[in-house]
Amino acid sequence: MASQKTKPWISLIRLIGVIVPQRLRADWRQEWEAELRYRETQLAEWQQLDWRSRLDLIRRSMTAFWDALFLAPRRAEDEIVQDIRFALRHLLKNPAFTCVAVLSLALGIGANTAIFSLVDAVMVKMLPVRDPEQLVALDSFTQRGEQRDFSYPLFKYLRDRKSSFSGVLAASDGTSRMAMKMPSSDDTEQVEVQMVSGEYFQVLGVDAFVGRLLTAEDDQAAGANPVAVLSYNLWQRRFGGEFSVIGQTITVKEQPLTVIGVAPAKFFGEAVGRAPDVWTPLTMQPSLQKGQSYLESPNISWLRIMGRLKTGVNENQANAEVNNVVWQLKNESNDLGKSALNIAKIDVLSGAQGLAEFRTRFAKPLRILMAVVALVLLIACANVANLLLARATARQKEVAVRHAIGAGRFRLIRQFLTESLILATFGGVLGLLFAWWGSRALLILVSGDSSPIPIDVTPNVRILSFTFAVSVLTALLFGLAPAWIITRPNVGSALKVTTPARPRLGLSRLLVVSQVTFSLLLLIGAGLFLKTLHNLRTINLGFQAEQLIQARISPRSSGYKPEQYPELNKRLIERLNSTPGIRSASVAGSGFRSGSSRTCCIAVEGYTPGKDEDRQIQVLEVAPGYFSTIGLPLLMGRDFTPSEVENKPGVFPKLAIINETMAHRYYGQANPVGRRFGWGDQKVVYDTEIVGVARDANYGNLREKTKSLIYYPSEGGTLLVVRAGLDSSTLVSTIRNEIKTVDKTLEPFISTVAELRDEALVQERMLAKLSSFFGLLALLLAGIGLYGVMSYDVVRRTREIGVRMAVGARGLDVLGMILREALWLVIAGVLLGLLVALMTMKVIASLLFGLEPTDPLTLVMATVVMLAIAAFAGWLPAWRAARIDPVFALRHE
Amino acid sequence: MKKNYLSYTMALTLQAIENGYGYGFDIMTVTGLASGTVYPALRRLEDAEFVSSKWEKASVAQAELRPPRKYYEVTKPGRTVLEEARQRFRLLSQLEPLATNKPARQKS
Repeated sequence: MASQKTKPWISLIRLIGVIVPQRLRADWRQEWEAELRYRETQLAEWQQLDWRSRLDLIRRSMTAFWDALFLAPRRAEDEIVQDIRFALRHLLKNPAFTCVAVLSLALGIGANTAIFSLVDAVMVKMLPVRDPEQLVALDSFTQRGEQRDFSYPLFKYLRDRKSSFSGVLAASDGTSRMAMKMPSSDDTEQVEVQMVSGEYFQVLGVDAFVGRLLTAEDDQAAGANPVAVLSYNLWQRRFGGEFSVIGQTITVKEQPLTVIGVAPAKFFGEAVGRAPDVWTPLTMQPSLQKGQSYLESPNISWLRIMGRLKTGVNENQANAEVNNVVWQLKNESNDLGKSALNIAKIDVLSGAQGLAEFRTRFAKPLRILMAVVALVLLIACANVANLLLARATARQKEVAVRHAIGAGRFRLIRQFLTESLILATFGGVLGLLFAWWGSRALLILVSGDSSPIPIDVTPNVRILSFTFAVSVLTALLFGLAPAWIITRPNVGSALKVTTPARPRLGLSRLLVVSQVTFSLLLLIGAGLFLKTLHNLRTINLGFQAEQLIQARISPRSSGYKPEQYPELNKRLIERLNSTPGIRSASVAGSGFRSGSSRTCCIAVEGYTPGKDEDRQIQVLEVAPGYFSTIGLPLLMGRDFTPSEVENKPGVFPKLAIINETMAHRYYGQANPVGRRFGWGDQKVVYDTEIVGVARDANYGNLREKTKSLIYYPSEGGTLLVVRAGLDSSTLVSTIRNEIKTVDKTLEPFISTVAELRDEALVQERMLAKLSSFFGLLALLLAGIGLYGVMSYDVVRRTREIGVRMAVGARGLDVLGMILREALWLVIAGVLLGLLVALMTMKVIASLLFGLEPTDPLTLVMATVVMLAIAAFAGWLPAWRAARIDPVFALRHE
Repeated sequence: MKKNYLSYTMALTLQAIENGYGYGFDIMTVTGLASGTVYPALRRLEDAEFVSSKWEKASVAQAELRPPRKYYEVTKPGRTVLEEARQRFRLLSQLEPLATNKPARQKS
């Protein structure tokens, strides 16, 4: 057989056999060869092996090609299964490596998925309503460019002239916290109430889960329809999901409301980040917020408007139409027309994702966090790549053997990439679990100590595909380079020597440098955010915030009339002042982070305002003793005396204390005490005398400069301020009890100023906490990376170190040598990191307070921390190198 | 997943094997189908376990100084589906049974 000359058809079969899967190839070749040979022998026997038959044989062997093509696809699936089996076996054999790699990847991928879940919920996800892409939000801007809500008359005007919209809805801007009494018990609970127009649910396209939702008929006349729709959550939480709730009466702020239905579970209203518990018609506003009605005045802006576009109408057309309607309105001479003059423009924007305020508030922090976690993932990738590279040596022999028996380089790379993909897949799955837990933890963190912000972060298709994509990308990122390097063909040398040839460490060094760079960036960011938080927390408020407690009361709910407030307040203050542990108490119209009122238009004697000067001034009613209670010093003049308080609601007393800013603005360096001002435009009566100047106080807009403020004497405020003697936290319940002994129907809302200040810093705290967490994580990963590379380096150089020591190097010299090498890497990384930081930290400038993005102290601190960790991570392997026994090392192969 | 519904080509191939043409080339010759059709049909039938393949005895091949040929046999489930296919493709029954060892298409 061997003597036979190879026939052309046989060579053809051999050639074509290449595309047949390897496991089938031998069989396949033999089958075809045998057939052709058999045919050939037969023809020879019959003496018919002429040129025609030969051609026929060649033709037949050519058709083997089709057979081979048919079998070829089995090759890939076959080899992939092989790859996966081999990779799994290999990973199981190295459990320590697998665990470390999977865990680092899981941390990186999990962090990315968690932050992406938030990004998705806040910035991407559409409202869970019918055809959300048809929804638009209307944003009204004043002549001064400020965004302003809509008034009820303006909403009705727009609603009745809606040609671009199939429906228009209005909802109160935000929810109000109100006490709700259960139907048949005295149980009360604080619930979030939102007032919405009758069309609200129809326009959003939401159907009732139980009962019915509001309709336009429910919203006709003020106070005529005391009905309520419950959220699914409240229905489950307080009513046990009982269908009998329909028709029952709940009492919200003394106003009985009949429950008519329950909204579906996923529905949370028109704005992400809020979750009203109860919806009532807009026309119930006067009944629920006793006192002023918001329904008549075109000057009270309290509504957000959304609309559903008619089919075929786009946002631009709707925009043009709305602005045209407003333009016509401006020509009308009634009150509404006049109020419309202040509207510069109305923007019609997509409302598919709900109203934007939450989105705009968290967009930047979320983007920064996304960048932060991306860096963490890169560092984790570098770590895994380094681990893979370190094992390259161990596997060099394996690679050489496989190469020698015929595996192509591409095939080997595929094998290694399969391993990477499996690692990344495990990392991704574990990361998804981390994210599941992490995104909830994040929400709680973002929300401060109150209940978590109601955002739905359940994993959806988008989040899952994001995680999948990130995992695959990660695998390529950390797997490709090591695979490329490991499979570099150097069969001969690798097979011969037992100690592998020294592979170049260029890539792993580069990886460590980049890890250090990224970690330093994250550390610097974390430092900046921490310092910002610290700056804002320790900002000088002007008064003594510690040990100060605020108690908001609502006497109106307990049946008091405004003229009775001063008398009630006097009793309360007297009672509190005689309570042990309380140093002093007073009352004011508002306080720290509890809103402010502004009045127009001030006219100061002897001062000519500029043409466009803002003449609105913040005013605050305070009782005598207020300044000493909150610890706000008077710089000039004196406090009000009890006899100066007139207590006539709505009438400004003729005495005032102004703050420093106002004094500087209107009087410069002169002493304002004894000077006068008045209100109005024409025929101003300068009848108010300034009796004192108080130091500037920051009432809650921590980042803003203090504005001009006038204090008036009055005892009719509803905010009690209490200066505690020692520990303010234990006093909260005491104060509640004392207030209750004066009038048990009063429901005070008590908190310390320190708590309120912390609440104001939610975003800053979130950024500081998360960036520090991720910064430390990055530091840890980079430390592990450096440690890994250096220890591997030491092991690899055992022999060399042994020689050095044999010829006289001391342990200290070796220690120094290894440490120096580690530090060079770190210093390179640090320098690069500082350079990048100087160039990029500008992007977070707007989130910082009281320091520059290139704050030198932060840069130095971050560098020191980085160097310290690096020194530690490098010291361990160096120390081990220094203890190498030369005799052992020289024998070491 | 086993497919019990045969295409005409597969049925014809199966019938040819049933009739005693066990080798790929013989099937090609007797059915007149091209090898690009016969072999994939064979592979599919084998995957579906309607035919099984065996190598001919090495001694026979060695005597003729060629590698052993692979031949195919119809299995029990193969017979069942063939029966079903015959109902649909009447022409199948007309396929000539193996009579002689001579190739069908020979030059005289």
